[in-house]
Amino acid sequence: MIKVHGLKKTFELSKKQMKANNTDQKYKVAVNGIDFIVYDNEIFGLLGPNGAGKTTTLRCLSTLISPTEGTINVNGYDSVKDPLAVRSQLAFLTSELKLDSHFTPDYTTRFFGRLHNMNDELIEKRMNHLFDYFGVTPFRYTKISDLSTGMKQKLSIAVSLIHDPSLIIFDEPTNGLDIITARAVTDYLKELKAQGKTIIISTHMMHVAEKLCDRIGIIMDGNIKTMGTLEEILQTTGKDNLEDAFFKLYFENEVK
Amino acid sequence: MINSLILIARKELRRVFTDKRLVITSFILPMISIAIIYSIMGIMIGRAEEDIKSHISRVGVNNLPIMIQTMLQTDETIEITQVNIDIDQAEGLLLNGDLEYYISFEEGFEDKILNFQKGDVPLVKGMYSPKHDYSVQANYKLNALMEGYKHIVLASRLGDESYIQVYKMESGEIEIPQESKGIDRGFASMIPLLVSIFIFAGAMGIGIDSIAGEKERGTMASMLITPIDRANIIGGKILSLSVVALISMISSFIGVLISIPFSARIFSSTGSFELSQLAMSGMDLTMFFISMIGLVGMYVTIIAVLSMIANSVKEAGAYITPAYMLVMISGFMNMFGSGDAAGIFDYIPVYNNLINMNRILSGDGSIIKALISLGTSIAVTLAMLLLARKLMEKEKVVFPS
Repeated sequence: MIKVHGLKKTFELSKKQMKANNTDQKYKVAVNGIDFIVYDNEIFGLLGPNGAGKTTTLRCLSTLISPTEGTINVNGYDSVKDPLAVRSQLAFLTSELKLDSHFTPDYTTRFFGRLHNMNDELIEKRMNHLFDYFGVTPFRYTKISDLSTGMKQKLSIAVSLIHDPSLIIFDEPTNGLDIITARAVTDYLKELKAQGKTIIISTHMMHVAEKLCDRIGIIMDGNIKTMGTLEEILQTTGKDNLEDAFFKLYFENEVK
Repeated sequence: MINSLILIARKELRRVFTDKRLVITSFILPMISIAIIYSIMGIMIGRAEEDIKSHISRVGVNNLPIMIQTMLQTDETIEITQVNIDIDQAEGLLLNGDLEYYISFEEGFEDKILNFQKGDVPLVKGMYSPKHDYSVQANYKLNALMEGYKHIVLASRLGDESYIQVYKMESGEIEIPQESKGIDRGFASMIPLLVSIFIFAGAMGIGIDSIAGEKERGTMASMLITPIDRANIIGGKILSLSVVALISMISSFIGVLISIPFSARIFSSTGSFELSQLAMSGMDLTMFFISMIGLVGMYVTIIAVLSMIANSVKEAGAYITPAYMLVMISGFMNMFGSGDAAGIFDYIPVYNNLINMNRILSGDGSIIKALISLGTSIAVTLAMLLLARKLMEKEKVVFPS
């Protein structure tokens, strides 16, 4: 379970960034004091337009960056006070995290397994399972630079899950994937949920969120505008699909 | 903690040593290019020296006395090509390189020498072109010849040349014990410079890629979400970089050793050198290694810190270049520097390591001074490590996007 309370993240802008953003404000509030809880055995979707604060939220949850204010608690561990304990329990996948293209999937996965203090036997077992599931096995000893984009993405997922984490945070997990690979990923996320894992994903794809997520949070300008099950969101917004609900909230936010 | 540090270091070393391109560009190419460049330089310099020495100097004369003419004719490396030309003509020929020396004797020079009157000293004008090496060499030859002529004249005028000889000077070398002889002076001052540059250059390329490159490519961020201390990530990188720097330095140095049969005249003060001269006692070798390790620690951590601050490989290159220049300057200062009576240089990091290497190679190594330099090196390395650790905790540094 992950508990987020009053999460706020402020970035200090450089002069170059201030100019690019056409602002004279030295600080930018990316996430403005949000609260949410994601339970075990649940997939939580974070939706929002570009620059809404999704990625910043996920980076804070993964301990890649620290919150300016607020707390994040993962299975009883505070993300700031006990980041190593939190990291040992989570998988974080985002397009910004890359694997060294010089190595093979086999070496890379073993390396990350060892960083997670796993023994060789356990690494082998988990690696075989994940490689078989995602179809990486035939390319096990191929250099990552020679893999297709889809295969690289599947390998990244396998590497992120090598230590069998209890919290899985995937930022746009199906981005750039063909329909077959995307289905493999979403199916695996469902399987992980069935195993009792806590899963948070961010996505632009409304149909993915509709099909996959137990609860959805829509974030705009660093604030969560609405949160609940798909039915609850549709009821609150008076719309009959998530995309329309999203746009209703978006335009309301723009007017404000 | 140690396990994850070694794990990172092993991964970094694997990254380097399984990449053929990196192995070739970081270890093999420098060795081969250094061997070839220094050999070619040595051969070319040797040929140029031989050519100048064996060149027949073309000399123009005016009013040449018979005796000097005889002396000139007996020297096989001098040929009189222009006779009785005036100074203006000679200047033009010297400037074009058609003549290498011009010597003009006063009218009645020989009579004035033979019938010497007090205060009546005949004039000899010599002229050469400093622009042309052959002309400079001809100047030496003609000056030596005229000096010989002077001695002959004085001997005949005074009956005995020793009348004008105030004293006899005999200079000798003291016997230096084998153990404190050290190696050739030229080498002793050159080796610290080469070692220093090779260590820095070896660590620079791979250090930039391993830290700034990984940041830029996003591969470092993948490690930041694993349960290992961020200090271990940079520590492992620094450890592997130290190994790479040492291997790179050794390979470059092998290049220098390969070139020695041809390049000895560049490095050696005597123009000749044998590998056996590099033999050092166990103590000297230990002190030399201490100084070298001190440089490795400082250079690698400085490169690591500068690479961390940078957001891209390009930026890191821009930050590290001034440091590389300082390394080269300190090497040249040590090579051409004079004494340090106050002993202040012994406390200046980097420079004191170079001085110590120089001393050790000259047979004047001091264990106390080696330990002082080790102490300052450790202090700088630790300071840089602490800074690197601090930087690893900064979001803007490790995850700037």
